[in-house]
Amino acid sequence: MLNPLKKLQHEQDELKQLQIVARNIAEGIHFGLNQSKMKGFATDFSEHRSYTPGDDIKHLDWKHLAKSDRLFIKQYDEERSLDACVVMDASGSMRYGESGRTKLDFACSIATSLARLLFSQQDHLGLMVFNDHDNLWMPPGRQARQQNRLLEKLNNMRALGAASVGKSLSQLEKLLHKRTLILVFSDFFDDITILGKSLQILRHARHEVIVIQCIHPDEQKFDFKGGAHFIDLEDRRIELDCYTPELKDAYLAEFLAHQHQLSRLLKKYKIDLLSLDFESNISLQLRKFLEARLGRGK
Amino acid sequence: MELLFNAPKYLWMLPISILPVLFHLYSKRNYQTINWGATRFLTAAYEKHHVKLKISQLMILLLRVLMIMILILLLADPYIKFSKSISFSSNTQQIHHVLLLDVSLSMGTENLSRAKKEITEYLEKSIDHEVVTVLLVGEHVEFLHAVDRPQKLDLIQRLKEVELLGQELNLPKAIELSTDYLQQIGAAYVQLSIFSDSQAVSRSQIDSLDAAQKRMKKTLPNVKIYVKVFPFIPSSNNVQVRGITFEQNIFKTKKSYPAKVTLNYSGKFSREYSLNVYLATKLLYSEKVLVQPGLQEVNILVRFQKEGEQRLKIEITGDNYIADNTLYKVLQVDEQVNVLYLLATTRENRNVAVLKKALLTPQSFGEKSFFTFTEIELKNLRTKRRSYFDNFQVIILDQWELLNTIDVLNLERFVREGGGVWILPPYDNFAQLAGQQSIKNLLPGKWNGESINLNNPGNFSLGKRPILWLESLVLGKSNTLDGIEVQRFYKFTPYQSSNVLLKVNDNPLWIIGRLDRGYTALTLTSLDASWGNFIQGNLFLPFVQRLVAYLGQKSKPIDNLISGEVADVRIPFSKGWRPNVRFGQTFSKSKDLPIRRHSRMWVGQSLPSNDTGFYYIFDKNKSILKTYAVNIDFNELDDVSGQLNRWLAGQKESGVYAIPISESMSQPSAWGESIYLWNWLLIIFIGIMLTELKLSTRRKTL
Repeated sequence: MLNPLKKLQHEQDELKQLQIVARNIAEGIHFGLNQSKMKGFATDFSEHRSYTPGDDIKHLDWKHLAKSDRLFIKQYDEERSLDACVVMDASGSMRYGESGRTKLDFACSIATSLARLLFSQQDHLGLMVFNDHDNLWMPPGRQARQQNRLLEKLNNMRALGAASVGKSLSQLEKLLHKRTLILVFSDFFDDITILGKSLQILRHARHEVIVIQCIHPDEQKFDFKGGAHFIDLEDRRIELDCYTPELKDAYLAEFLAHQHQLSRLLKKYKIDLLSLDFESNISLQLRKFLEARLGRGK
Repeated sequence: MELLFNAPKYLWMLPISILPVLFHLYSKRNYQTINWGATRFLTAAYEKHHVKLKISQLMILLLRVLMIMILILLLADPYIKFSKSISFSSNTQQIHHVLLLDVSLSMGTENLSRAKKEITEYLEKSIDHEVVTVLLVGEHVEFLHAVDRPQKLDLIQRLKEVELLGQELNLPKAIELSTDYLQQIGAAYVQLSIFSDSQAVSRSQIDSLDAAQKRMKKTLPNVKIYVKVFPFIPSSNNVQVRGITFEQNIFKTKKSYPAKVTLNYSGKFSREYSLNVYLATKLLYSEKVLVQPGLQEVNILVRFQKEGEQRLKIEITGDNYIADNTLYKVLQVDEQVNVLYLLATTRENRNVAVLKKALLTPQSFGEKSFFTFTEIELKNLRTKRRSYFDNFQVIILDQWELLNTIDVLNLERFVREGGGVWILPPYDNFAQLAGQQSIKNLLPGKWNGESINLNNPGNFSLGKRPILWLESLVLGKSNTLDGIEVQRFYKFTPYQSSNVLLKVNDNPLWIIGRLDRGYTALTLTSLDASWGNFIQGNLFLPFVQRLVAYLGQKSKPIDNLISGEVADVRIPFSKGWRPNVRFGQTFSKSKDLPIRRHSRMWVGQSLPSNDTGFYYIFDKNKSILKTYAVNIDFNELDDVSGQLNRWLAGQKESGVYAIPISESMSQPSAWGESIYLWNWLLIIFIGIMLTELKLSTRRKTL
């Protein structure tokens, strides 16, 4: 058995490895990912539109006027910087998992990867961390200081107490003033109704939401043997003794029902869901997800 | 109805049945602790199902406990005994005390005065409304009083005037008189007490007494009778037993006996010695001292040991369980009349167990040597031997015993488990004793083989030959043919619940009756010379066939049925001695010979050949699974398995007899409507297993 100091060192090493992985991922796929939907007058031609009085005549397509004797304005795709925000669930339930490989560790690794990616594209990125002990809000920005602080926060995050994703997202909507890409990292062991309302508000405000669900294989399979004494990670006063094989089926029924409700909700608001698979390669999962999003954007 | 166990020692294992509970508690203490995130779903699942889960857990726990309990009970081999007990309508009913005072000369004045003193005390202690009747028993029997309900004081006064009367004690007459008297006054609850010195009760009187008591019970069916015999020690102050003096005071109080007295004795016993040992032990609270007449000298070591404060344990050690190559097992002690029933078997003929009846009274000793047993403490009996006895289910009675036992089917006291056909041996024993001579040469006259109408056994007769009485051979001294004599009996009385299948001159020849678990058939064979000849002749076999056909409710007799001495050897799963074939063993060379738990193996011996045995392997439904005819040396019955295996290994074709016996014996009706409790328990056990299986399936689909 490792002593506490060695154990800490071991955990930090693992985290560093994850950060390196995140950096590699970010560098590998960072070019030209954020295609803006805003139409403007930059270099890339997009389409014509009819001239309306008041338009600047410098944008008139003279060649087209000469050919057809009709007035058209040239339009171009405008490249704009993206506003994004990482919303991180730091409740106690995110602490589940082996030391150094908890759900929060996984979520932070992926968030770090994405943060590096977005910063490298000169996008603005903010961070919101929520639990009932400590809430953090960093508005989107792209200064070096912002970057360092955000990455440091992601690297040194602790999961404590209880949290409500739904309520936190409602608060977030009030804090955001621009259309923003919201990356929500959570296990979503929360009330689906409250979450639904929050997502509705966010979608109404034309924010784009990506949900990254972090569920440990143990929570998915409940593959324990014999009797067990369960202590709730969010509220340690909640304890339960049971013989796990007997309760397995009932637990899985509850769990799958919740997952079904969640997926239905996300589908309703056309929100992408990335379920983290702890047992497969994280970079591969992330790459696939981003490629899928990129494909959809085109 | 009474629940009894064949092997109650296994009941000590019952506490094992709480093991599942202990395991349950232990495993609960060893639960692993898990810090859990998805408690939301876990608590929801638990709240929905915890009642069901708790119940199913408890059920499983209970079932496991039950399973172990049932297994232990199965090992203890339970059975139900249905007994016809006389019940009292009320405890408050009046008690009639009948006191029989022995006034024969053998009592002597001293004993008489002591007895009178005891009766006086008895009278003084009795409650006013209880009726006390005193009978003076000598050669003649008379009431101490003339009126029906005498006054206590009057009785005490009269008692003082009583003197010694006749030469002998006529106890049967006294009981008969008491019976009439009690019948006359309509007594409902009777306590019969006999004040007598036990020396005065002779063997014949004991038999008569036994019969008289039975008559009393029959005449007064609703009467519960307690019989108490007050034995008296010899009048001298000290009892000399082969150089060891028992001080009289040790007989008087329970606490003053010596802690340990050892008698070492070798050689023949004298009458005095036997009497004194008997009385000493009797008075030292050992009520199990038994004496068997008619046996040769025996080495005996009697050890009196203090056991606790109040009890004395008598331990008889040494080779006392074997005498003259005969093994003895004590079956029953009738303490009321001091009669001992023994099951004896010999080295030469171990598949035959003979029931012996012995008396405990000194007069019956005569000049013969005798044998002493304790019922419980047959210490050095080897396990093998003990099992050997335990495994005998069929007892073959010898005619000597039968003819002295009038109620021939009153056998519950001897055998706990009935069933099967009990066939009495003919004169083979005599023939053996006479040096293998045929009985025909020993007996005068011959039966010339009158025809017997086998198709109608109920009207069976001996043709024109008149038989006015039944004759029996009675053994002479030491169970030998020396001094053999023929006694005549005019009447045999079967037990009232028995059916007489066949009569000869109103005397039963074939009798069947129900014992605890099944039908039992008896034949009385010791009739006269002609009968002996008949049994040894060709007609005996068809007779047995007819009997078995009757019991099996078959329309026609079965061919080639074996007869003679048949021992049913039960194969116990758990006991030390298993004859021959191991449980579950398969005989590859002769295909299958399956033996299951409680299979029954019958070792048969056929007539006239003595060296052929038959193995019948029964399943639990009494269907014969396999029949073998092999040459068996019955002198080596302990090693029948070895013999069988050797025979199988050699692949010898015995071929002496082919036995299609299965047709007749496989009928359940032939075995009665027995209640085999363990069968039910097995069904319950299987039921529990199925329930458990169902529950576990339900758990999976929960």
